[in-house]
Amino acid sequence: MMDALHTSRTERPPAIPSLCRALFCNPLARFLAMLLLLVSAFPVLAAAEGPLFIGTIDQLRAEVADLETKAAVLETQNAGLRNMLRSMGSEEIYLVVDTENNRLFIRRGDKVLRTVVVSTGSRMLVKGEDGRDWFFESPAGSLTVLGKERNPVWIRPDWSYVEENMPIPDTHDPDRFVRDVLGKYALLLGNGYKIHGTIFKNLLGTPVTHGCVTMDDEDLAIVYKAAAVGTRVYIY
Amino acid sequence: MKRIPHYIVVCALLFLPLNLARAEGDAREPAAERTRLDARRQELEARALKLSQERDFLLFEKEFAVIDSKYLVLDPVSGRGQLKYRARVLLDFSFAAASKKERQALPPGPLSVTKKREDAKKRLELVFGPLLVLSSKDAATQDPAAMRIVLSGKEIRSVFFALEKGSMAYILP
Repeated sequence: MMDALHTSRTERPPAIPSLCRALFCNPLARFLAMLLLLVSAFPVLAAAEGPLFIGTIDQLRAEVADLETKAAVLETQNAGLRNMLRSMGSEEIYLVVDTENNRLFIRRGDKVLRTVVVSTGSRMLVKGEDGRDWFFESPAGSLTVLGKERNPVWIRPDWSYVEENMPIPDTHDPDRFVRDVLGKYALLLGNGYKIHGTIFKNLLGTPVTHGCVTMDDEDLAIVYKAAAVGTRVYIY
Repeated sequence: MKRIPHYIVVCALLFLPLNLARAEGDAREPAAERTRLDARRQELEARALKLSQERDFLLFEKEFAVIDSKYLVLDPVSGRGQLKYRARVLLDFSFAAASKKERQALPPGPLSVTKKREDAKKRLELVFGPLLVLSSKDAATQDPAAMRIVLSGKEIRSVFFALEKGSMAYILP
C-alpha cells in the first residue's frame, strides 16, 4: 500500500513547473520577473515615442508619401483651374456699372482703374396714348461694346415725344436727328442703349436717364479710349 | 518567505545592461525619424487641407463663370468681400474682420440667400440661413445667433439689389 502511494506520488507530474511556481508564488520573484519584462520592453517603448500601437515607422512613411502625392495632385488641379479662369478673360479691361450708386468702374481683374460718376436709368414709366409704355431702366446683365462712335447723333425715339406731349413725327423726320447732346463719343451696347456724354452734368450721380449711361466729357474720353469693340460691360 | 531561485536573479542582472544598451541604440534613430515624419505629416495634412479648400473655391468659381448669376465672395479673416459675376469683380467692399469664435461658427463654403428684408425706413438685410446676415449699420437684426457683417449704405444697396433670393455667397477659409 505504501509502495503504491509512493509510486503514484513520484510518477505524478508537478502541478506547476518549478520556474512558474517560483514566479507565481514568490512575491519578490514575481516583482523581479515583471521588472525584467518591463526592461525588455523598453526598446519598443522608446522607439514608439508616443502612444503605443499607433503604427510603425513604415506606416508613417507610407502616410507621408500618400500625403505628398495628394498635395501634388491638388496643386496641379488648382493650377489648371486658375489657368482656365484666367483664360476666361478676367485679365482684360471691362466696365462695371452700379445702377444703385450711379457709378461706372473701369476694371482689370481685381483692380479698379478708374471710378466714374454716371447717371443711369430713372426707373420711371411713361405711357403713350396709343397704349404703348416705356420703363426707363438701364439693362442689367452682361453686355458687350458693339460699336464706337465719334460725334454721335441722337435719333429721338417715340417716347421722347410722348414725354413732352408732342406728336410723334415720321421715322425719317429731320426733327428726330439731334446733334451735340450726347457728347463727343458713344459706346454702343445694343437695343438703342449707349454709354455717352450729357448736357445735364449737374444731374450726374442720380438716376435720370432713359436707360443709357451718361457721364461728363473728361470721363467719357477716358472710357472711350479704354474700351474696345468686344469689351464686356456688366450692369447691375 | 521562500527563497528566490538564483537563476531568476542572475537572468535579470544579465539582461538588464544588455537591454538598456539596446534600448538606447534602437531608440535614438527611429525616434528622431518618427519625430521628423510626424512633423512632415502634420505639415502635409495642413497643406492638403488648404489646397483642397482652394480647389473647392476654384470649382465654385468655374461653375459660376458660365452661370448668369451674381454672387459674393467673403473673406471673414481679412474682412474683405467681392460682388462677382462670371468670375469678374463688380464691387469690392470691406467689413470688420470676424472674431475667431465667429469664424468657427461660419464654416468655409457656399451659402445661399434665404431672405431679403427691407423695412419702412429702407434698412436692408440679406439673410443667409441661420449662419450669416449682411446688413447696414442701422438695421436691427432679427437673427441674433447669426454672424452679422455690416456694410456701408452704398455697399449694402449695391449688394442687396444685385442679389436675389437663392443667390450664393462663398465663405473663404
